[in-house]
Amino acid sequence: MATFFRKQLPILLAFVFGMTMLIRYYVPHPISEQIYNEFIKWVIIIAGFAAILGILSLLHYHWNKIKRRQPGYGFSFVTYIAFFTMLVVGLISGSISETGSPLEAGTGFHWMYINLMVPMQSTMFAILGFFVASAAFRAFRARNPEATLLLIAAILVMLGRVPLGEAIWGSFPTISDWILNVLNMSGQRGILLGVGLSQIAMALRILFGIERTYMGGGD
Amino acid sequence: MKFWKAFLKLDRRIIYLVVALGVIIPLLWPMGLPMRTSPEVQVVYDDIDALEPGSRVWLAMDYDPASQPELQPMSKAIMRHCFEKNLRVLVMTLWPGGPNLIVEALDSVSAEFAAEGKNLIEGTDYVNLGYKPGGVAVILGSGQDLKDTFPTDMFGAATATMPVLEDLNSIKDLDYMVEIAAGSTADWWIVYGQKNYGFPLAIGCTAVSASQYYPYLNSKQITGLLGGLRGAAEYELLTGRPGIATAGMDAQSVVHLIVVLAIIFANIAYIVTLRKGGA
Amino acid sequence: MNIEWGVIIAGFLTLMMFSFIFKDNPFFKFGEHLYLGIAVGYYVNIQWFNYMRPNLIEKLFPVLGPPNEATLATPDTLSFPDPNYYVLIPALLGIFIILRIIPKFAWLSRVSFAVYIGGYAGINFPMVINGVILPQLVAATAALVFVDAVNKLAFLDGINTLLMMIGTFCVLVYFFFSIEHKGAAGFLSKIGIYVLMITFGAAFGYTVMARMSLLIGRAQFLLFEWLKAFGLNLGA
Repeated sequence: MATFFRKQLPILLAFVFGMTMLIRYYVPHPISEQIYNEFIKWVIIIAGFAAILGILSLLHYHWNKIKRRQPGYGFSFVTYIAFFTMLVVGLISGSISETGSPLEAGTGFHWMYINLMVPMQSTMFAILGFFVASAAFRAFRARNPEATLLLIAAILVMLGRVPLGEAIWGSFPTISDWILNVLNMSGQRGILLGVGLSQIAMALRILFGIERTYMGGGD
Repeated sequence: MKFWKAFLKLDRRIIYLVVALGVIIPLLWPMGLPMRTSPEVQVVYDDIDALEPGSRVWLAMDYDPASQPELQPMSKAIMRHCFEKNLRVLVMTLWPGGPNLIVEALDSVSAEFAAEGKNLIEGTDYVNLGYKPGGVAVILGSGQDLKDTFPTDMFGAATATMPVLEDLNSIKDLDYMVEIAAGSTADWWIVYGQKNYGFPLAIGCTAVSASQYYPYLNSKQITGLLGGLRGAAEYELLTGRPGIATAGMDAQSVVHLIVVLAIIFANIAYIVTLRKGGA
Repeated sequence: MNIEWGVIIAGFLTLMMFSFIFKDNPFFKFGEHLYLGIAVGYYVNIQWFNYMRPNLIEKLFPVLGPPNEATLATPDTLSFPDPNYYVLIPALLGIFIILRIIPKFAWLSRVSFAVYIGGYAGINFPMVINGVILPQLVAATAALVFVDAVNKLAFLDGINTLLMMIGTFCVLVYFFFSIEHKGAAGFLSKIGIYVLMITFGAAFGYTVMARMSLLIGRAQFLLFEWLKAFGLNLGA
């Protein structure tokens, strides 16, 4: 019985729910429509809990680091202090703001978001600007016909997308638009169709219980 | 020969320095190079410009601070255009890191309009619906029952009787939608939103993913495409309110030239050293 | 003078994060962990105020939420929407997901994932066919028009349409691993590879703009907002 709940039940549920949703698409009926509407609301609520799980496991990771005194565990304290500060500021901001929500402009919470979270996250990704230049210099070599095509397309698109390229030669934007709208379009369409077909295959594998990777976690 | 060999071993910090200067110098001494408008941007501008006053435009700001320098100017340019045309704007996000970027954008744009003597009222002229988890389910939910998916706005006010959402129960009754995306949410809005509920949809996205949306442009599933900072700058210029994106385009020009020259010279060095090296 | 502490702090944090380009260092590490804590604290608040409270708690206990607007004017008859107990089912499934962190109950999360992923697969299947495959195939097989009385450029458009068709077809041949890439199939898949290389090249060329935009965004902040907070106005 126990193995039924752990092994067969999930596969059965995936099949039943999947088929219900699939049939409703092709055979719309007030009842199936209502089930569909209710299911969508469910998914939003379940997804919210999944997000909470993500938050909990991150906090758990840093808690373990502190507990085991792993190298650099002092930084994990920084994470915890920052977390509780943001949490408490949020709660206080909420209780004193007009709407009862800390999210509006003018609260301490919004201040911390704009002046701490935004600059740090933005800069973390801005660093990639330096790396992309360095990578272009180091890795982009015309070693064979394929690499040469890649390189030429990249250079033409780069020159066609900035005003300076346009100033150097008026036809750069035309060429880059043509590459994007014709050659790039046909390649991207091929990729899109390939991915679409594999998504359909995956959906069928899930419905019929062949794909079970989602069952990971405990036995 | 020696020169080219040494050139290939150039210290990465020199490249970083050149890039940094390439960004800073044009920002301090702008050249103001002209820019032509791409047809895929023009179409979005023309569509929004042709909407009747009071029409409702859904603006999904699906990104977080990581791509904010690129996409926030885009969202603001769209908002400015809508408010100028007296359109009503409904803003939301599928990204948990994004809601306060909506607050920042609406706050600063409405302050600009207030300074020009036009006071925009929250709940009447616009609404910030905030964030919901679930991605695709939020899109489908907004199509099935909008006010049940978003029972309140971002700050907890009930949406049921909000004037801006009057008689609007599904995204299928929208007059236009602009999706500003840093990731695959744009595909979701096309496949699950536009296809099911039929509203006209334009995409604005980071330059990383812009090249992916040309098939949808070609199949007419989307009306137009704003790609990266360039797309934002073009839109700013179309609305006659050049802003931070336009200001950044000179720096884009210079760093792009640096990258192109780096590739070309590195390849010359590669070919020269390969021949002389007898490999 | 009004000191803009927020801007000053944001500037120092920006420089702290930028220090990573020289090498990983304690300043960056500090910033990275500070960011993580702030971000998680932010997400918790967002999840609570934007989702948990309106979509779950206030559905179960409407008195905690906004009252019916029509009854606001008369406090005596103030009324609230009816509770919706259906939300208890997904809430339970959600709790199962969280139980994943306790090994003994981890298997319960399978039930939730099965409902979520199974239902989603059922929704996804027809929508991908109708939203991606069919429209893209229809567009890929658009009529070839080379002569058009109104459109003088029809011939060039026709050529482009033909190129798109060939390009997409060759890419699909390359993706179709079941057939051996020899003879005609080998030739077509080789063209498919070339088309893909141009596609990736175009994507890379565009990507440079994305990365540089972020860098420019931070530079604009440091030059025009941060330095201004110290009284150094560089214009713009």
